[in-house]
Amino acid sequence: MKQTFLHAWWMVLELLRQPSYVVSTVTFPALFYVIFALPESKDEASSNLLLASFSCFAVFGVIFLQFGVGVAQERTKSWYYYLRTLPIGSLHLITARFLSALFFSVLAALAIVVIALIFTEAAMSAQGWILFGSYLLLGGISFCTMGLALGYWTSEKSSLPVGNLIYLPLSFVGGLWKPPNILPEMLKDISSHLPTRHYGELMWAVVRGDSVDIKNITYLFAYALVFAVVAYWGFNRDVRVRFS
Amino acid sequence: MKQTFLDFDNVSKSYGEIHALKGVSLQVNPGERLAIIGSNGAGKSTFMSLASGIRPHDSGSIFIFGNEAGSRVAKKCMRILPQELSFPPQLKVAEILKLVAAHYDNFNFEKLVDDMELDNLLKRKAHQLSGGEQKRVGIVATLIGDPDLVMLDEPTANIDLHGRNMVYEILQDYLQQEGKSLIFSSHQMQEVEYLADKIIVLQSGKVIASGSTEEIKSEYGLKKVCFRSQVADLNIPSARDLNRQGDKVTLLGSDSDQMLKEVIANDINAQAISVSDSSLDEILIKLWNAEGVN
Repeated sequence: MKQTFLHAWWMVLELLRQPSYVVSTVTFPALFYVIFALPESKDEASSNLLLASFSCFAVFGVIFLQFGVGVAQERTKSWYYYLRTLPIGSLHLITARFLSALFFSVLAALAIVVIALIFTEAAMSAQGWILFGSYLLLGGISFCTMGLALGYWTSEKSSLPVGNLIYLPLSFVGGLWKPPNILPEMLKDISSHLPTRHYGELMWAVVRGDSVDIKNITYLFAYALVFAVVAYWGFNRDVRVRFS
Repeated sequence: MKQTFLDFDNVSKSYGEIHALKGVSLQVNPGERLAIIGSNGAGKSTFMSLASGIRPHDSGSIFIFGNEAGSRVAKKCMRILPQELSFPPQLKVAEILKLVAAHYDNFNFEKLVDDMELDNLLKRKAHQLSGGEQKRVGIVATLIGDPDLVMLDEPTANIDLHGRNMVYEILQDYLQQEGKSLIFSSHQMQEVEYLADKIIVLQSGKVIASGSTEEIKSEYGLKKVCFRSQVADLNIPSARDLNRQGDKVTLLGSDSDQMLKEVIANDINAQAISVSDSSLDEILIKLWNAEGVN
């Protein structure tokens, strides 16, 4: 466990020392929040809902996109081969990569929370904030296998464009930028089956103070499971191609 | 009973249509220093990646102290430095070494850092290191954990003369400890003669020669007789090869005494006569020629 955290720490350090990475990861969702959400945050209720939506967008972005791209890129590096010669299992290294993504997802969400607290009427009780943070991360973790699948099924160069092709439409149709009820009918049908929509529904319930719908959690869990299989398939294929 | 450290038994490995290793068998015992030599693409790096467990082998078996190659136990007692290794560019040298050391119990790498003169580089980020400096950091990282077997793929490639001497010293220190073994590949035969006590020559994935340095020289090497003479026509039947450059004549053959007798019998007023063994470089070229390698 100690080794896993140590590997996660060097992965965080490696990225923290690249200002372009930190700025783009943290500011991109925050910028979207400023453009799309601030003008619509008219009272406490709308501010809280938009805070929840864009926090989901930020966490989903880092855990799916940045994590997936990170996995795809490190697979081609000689350092990755070298790590395989150390007495540490692949699962520890993947967990470490995921923990580093989790770290940056918290940073990205924090940037949005800070902007919301300064410029909108977003407010929650202490317990509300704890629930907000907990469900935000728990829901976000479910996208980890989707990120892994991206990492193992795309190349170093294609991972970012392919990831964006999935990330942006899923965020929009999932209702993380605009409320899902304003989507065209056809997209509404699709939206109700997307993991991003269920992530959003989960967080909207939390900020409204409603009880969490088990259906949303089940959807997220099922998606995580399906992508775990896809990722495992991709991992085996990668090992076969790269190391056999 | 002395336990075999590395045991390759009839190991084969292919990459699609390319047969990288064909039925290679060899054993390395504790304390041995094995050099793997061969032309580019002969199978040296494949050999190391299979022994370290990075890649799986297609057939045969590989055991390290009785444990399957690539197992956690095997990884604990052996380390490898691949030919190409780029560290994460933003990490500092000290952080890289600490990270590697964290996989081994209470290992202090200060002496290694000192011996390799890395003190000034500890705070430098990996992307600020030259190729030779990266290699030196890699060698220190490989010796961390005091492994029983170290495998180095062309350890001194890209390293300057001073750096190379440091590498040799640090490896000699390591090998002075009881039971420590070294496997390395190299294209520099002086390095091979200096570090190795056993050699295998790989070509097209096959072992074409193996033995101690002396055994290789006596089995595959030839005696070399050099002298100066103005006489153009020479009759030296025992020489397998006669090479003339200006007045300098070089004879190659298995029996130097016989060649000398024939030189004297030719009555050619030979000057500056010398007799020597053929070098490992010459032996390697001879073996390659026999295998049809250009």
